[in-house]
Amino acid sequence: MLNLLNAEFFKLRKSKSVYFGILTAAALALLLYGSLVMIDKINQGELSNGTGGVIVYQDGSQVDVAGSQGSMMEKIGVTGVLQQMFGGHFTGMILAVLVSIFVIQEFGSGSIKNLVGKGYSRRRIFLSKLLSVMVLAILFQAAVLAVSICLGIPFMGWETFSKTVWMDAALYAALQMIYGVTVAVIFLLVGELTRNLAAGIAVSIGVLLFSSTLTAGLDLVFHGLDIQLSNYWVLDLMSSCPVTDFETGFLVRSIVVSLAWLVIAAVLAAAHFQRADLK
Amino acid sequence: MDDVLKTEGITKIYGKHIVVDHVSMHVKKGDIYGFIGKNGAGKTTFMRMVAGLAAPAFGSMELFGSRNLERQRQRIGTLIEQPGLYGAMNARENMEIVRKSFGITEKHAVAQMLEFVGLQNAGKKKVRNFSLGMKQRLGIAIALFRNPDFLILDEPINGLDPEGIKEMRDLLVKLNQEKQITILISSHILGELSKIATSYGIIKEGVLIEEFGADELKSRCRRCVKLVVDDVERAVSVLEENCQIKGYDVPEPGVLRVFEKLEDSWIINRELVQAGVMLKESYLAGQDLEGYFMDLLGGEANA
Repeated sequence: MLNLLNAEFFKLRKSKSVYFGILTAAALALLLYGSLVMIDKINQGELSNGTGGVIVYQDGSQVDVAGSQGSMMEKIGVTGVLQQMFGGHFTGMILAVLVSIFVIQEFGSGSIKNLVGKGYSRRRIFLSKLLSVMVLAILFQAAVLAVSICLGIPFMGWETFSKTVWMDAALYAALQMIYGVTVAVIFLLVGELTRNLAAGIAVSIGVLLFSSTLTAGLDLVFHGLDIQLSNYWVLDLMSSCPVTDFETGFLVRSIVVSLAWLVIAAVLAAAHFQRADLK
Repeated sequence: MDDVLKTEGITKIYGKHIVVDHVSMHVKKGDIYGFIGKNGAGKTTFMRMVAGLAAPAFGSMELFGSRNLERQRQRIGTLIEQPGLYGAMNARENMEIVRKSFGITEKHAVAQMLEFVGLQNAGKKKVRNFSLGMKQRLGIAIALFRNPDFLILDEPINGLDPEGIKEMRDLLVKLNQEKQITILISSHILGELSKIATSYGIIKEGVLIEEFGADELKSRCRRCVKLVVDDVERAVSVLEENCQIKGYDVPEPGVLRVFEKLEDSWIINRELVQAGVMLKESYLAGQDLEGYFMDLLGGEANA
């Protein structure tokens, strides 16, 4: 088992897609900070509204009077940027691509048969893949977190990082890590079921972007019930996770729901891997 | 001799289509077993079942006399269809993954294995830029890691140039003779297969129609004069006494095969007739190995 994990981590280290993924996330964070700077410049009248494609709205109308707004950068803060990066599914989308590549290329290139053909039990092979996907999710999210915070320092200034901000950011990041690991295992399940890179990425991103619409619809259909189904779907929790004033009930629900979906996805993927023929 | 692989009634069904139909195969220790069949006959599916990549619908299998297949598969090396490689990595990195997966601590094992298959100079070239022959050799190197006792090779010489085919043939013979590795090999290139195989299995439409040794094959393909007579005993005495022929056999009642003096077959015919033997048929028989397989498989090339 340790040998398999060792090989998996070697593959991760050698995988260029992981580094490209982190660079893409960094570029997105930079873009986000850049947009906030432009919003502030527009608000301060230094730039006209619409410059560089950035249009600032207030109460449904475009801002046309300079100087009417406070600093958006200060209002949003680093936790707001983190919320955009994680809750807005930027990170999720890149993670969907990374996990799909990491899982499905084994089936595409047939390299997984090197292990099965050598007598490794499928259970152990799957477990090593599951653990490495979870590690990948944690490392990638940690990298995105670090990049987002580091880029925030020059844009916002070190003084904005108060103790409360650090505490909120840490708790928010921890929750997102939990969601992210679960979502990565769901992507692993998709990859295992599809075994086709294009289909795997498409379905994973589809789940990421549209499953919340489905749960919102289900909430409408079952509005007479006491429970709201979207409260029990990990991707809804991921996007609705607050960045401050965390309630204990939400924290507990987040952990329990995430763990439940993680186990469900892992068991389904393991069962399929155990039974399905390999190319 | 022990069976390295023994299957009983192995069957694989996809939907309503029976791809492998009750195959009972016996690969003996030390054999180079040539597995022959047309495209779609079920060779690869059978090999995938032996390697654990696909599960049989019915039947049982023993590897090295044991039914604990997962454990015994640690003693086999496989190269089935395309080699399982990471195209974005070079040969050494691909081998490193295998070395780490198998927990082999000696780092020089990678370099040794690459040298063994002639890829020591592949350098940093990505595997996706390798020629088919180089990929096959790397696949062989992976299959050979951890010193297997049994190699399963599906079309390993496909796409190789003549030099590559010869190298592969020499490599397989070397592995078989020097390291006593038993080999199950399928190939479309029957001429090449017949140069190394010590036994054969013929599969047709999922059914293993025959298994035989290389000696038996040579005997079946041997050129001879085939005689169909009314009295075999009398014909035999004519052959021995009048024609001084010792090389003959009686493969079935009323049929004689004479392996000597083929160019003087008219003399044999004359002596038999003069001795009162009713000679119903007399003709030159025998063919090359490829022709024999084609007859068995019932047709065209593409075996």
